[in-house]
Amino acid sequence: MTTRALNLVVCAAALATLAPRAARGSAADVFEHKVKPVSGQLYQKAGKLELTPLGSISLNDAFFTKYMGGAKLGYHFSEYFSLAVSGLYGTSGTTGSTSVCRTTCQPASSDQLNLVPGEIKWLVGAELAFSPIYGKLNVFAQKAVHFDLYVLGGADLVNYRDVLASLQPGVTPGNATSLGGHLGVGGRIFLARFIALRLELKDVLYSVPHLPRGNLQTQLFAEAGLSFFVPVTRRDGQ
Amino acid sequence: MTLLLLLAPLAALSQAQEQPGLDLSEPPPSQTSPEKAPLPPPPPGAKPPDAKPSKSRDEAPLAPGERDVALGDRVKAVQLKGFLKRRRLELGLAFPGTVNDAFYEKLGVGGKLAYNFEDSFALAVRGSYFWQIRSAHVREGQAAFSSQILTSRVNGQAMLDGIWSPVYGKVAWLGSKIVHFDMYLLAGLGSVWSATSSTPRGGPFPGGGHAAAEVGGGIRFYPNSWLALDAGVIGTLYPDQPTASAPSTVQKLIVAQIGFAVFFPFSFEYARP
Repeated sequence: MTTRALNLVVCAAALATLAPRAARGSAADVFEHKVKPVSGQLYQKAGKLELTPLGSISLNDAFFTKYMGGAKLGYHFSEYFSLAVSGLYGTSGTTGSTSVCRTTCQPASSDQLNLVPGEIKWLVGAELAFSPIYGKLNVFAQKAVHFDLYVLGGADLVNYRDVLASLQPGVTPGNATSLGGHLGVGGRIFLARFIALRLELKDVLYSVPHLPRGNLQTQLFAEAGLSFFVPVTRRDGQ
Repeated sequence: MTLLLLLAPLAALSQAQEQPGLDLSEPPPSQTSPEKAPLPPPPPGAKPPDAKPSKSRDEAPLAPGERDVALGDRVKAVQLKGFLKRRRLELGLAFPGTVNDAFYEKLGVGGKLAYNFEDSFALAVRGSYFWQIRSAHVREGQAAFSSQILTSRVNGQAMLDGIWSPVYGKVAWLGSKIVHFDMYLLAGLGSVWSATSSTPRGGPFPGGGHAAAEVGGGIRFYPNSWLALDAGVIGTLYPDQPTASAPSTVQKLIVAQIGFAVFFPFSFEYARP
């Protein structure tokens, strides 16, 4: 190799060192060599049964406020879809709208109350829920609270005290059952791997055929319960 | 060789220069680092240090259960706030509906203009217009109780609200897309116009508005840098006298509403020190 050729090689090598270095994408990654913080779903539901004892109260009532208790049993086919059956049984109280005021106000008589709908006795139903949102937030900057949000819809059997078409003193209408349905939204706040606080708001629609008009009734319910997931362990056995 | 000697300092300089931007790689251990300094010999009789390998310094303390998730290769957590509202104007549209009147339900449309002084605080002017829907319960109640059901027929409202957003978080949509959200509380004063506002019994303001106060709360999701989706509940109190024969009472207007807001400017930047 001649001296000229050697100089060319040396110059080329020196110029090569001046070339910009390759981008170091991975080295600039703050997570490299570290335990990666992840936003994965810490509390998983897929493949689990969920049993929820719950209480329910009616909202926006015209004549009767319902206080109900019951349970819901669901199975999560995936993290997003679940199927559940539920049952609620309870009692009712009259609202302030049933006060009859002339010179003084007094509660409506039972004969008068037999003319108006809304005294639900029990409900059983099945529903499909879709839970696309899973999130977390910090409470008091200390502990992350994990939660999910879902929408639900289903069919119900609604048992209620039937209504009379006209005032009939001393006559007590029996109970009737009709097919209905519900739509709602809800959320779970996970307290532990197998326990979650469950809150729901749902609107139940059902028909009261004996009403002369306005047969379709809607009833808004707020529900709260404590969910227990079985099995407790994750799918990977942890 | 002369050329090589001239180029050598340049080559060293090129090695010293990094790519533009932050290099977040771990710096080389310093010779003077106290962590790397040789430990003094243990005192006589002292227990030898634990022979078990200690955890890496890089492993941050984790809450119970967090370690399990760290094993999964999932979406990395966002370190910075994903949405900034500070010094941004907000123009919103909302669709409220009452949830506390089974006899006369009100559906409406509303608008909001807000300025975010801070990420967590904004001042908003908002207004709503309502349509009243008479439900079947009115007829049922009148037939059963021979009663006259009194109602305050709300036409609209204009309020000045302070909005405080103390809670900030993020959610995963279908396990992949990260969407940021916050929860807010609001309180404000303003005026409500009802059916009695145009009568001589109207309120103290021109046009007969009734002085009103409200409190509420809700949640907002931020799918991108300029849009917020809003859901909330607001309760408004105002005095009204639905009929001349009835006494004036404090009316409660509780509405649940959904809506959206557009932020101006459309994008935001982090102010780094």
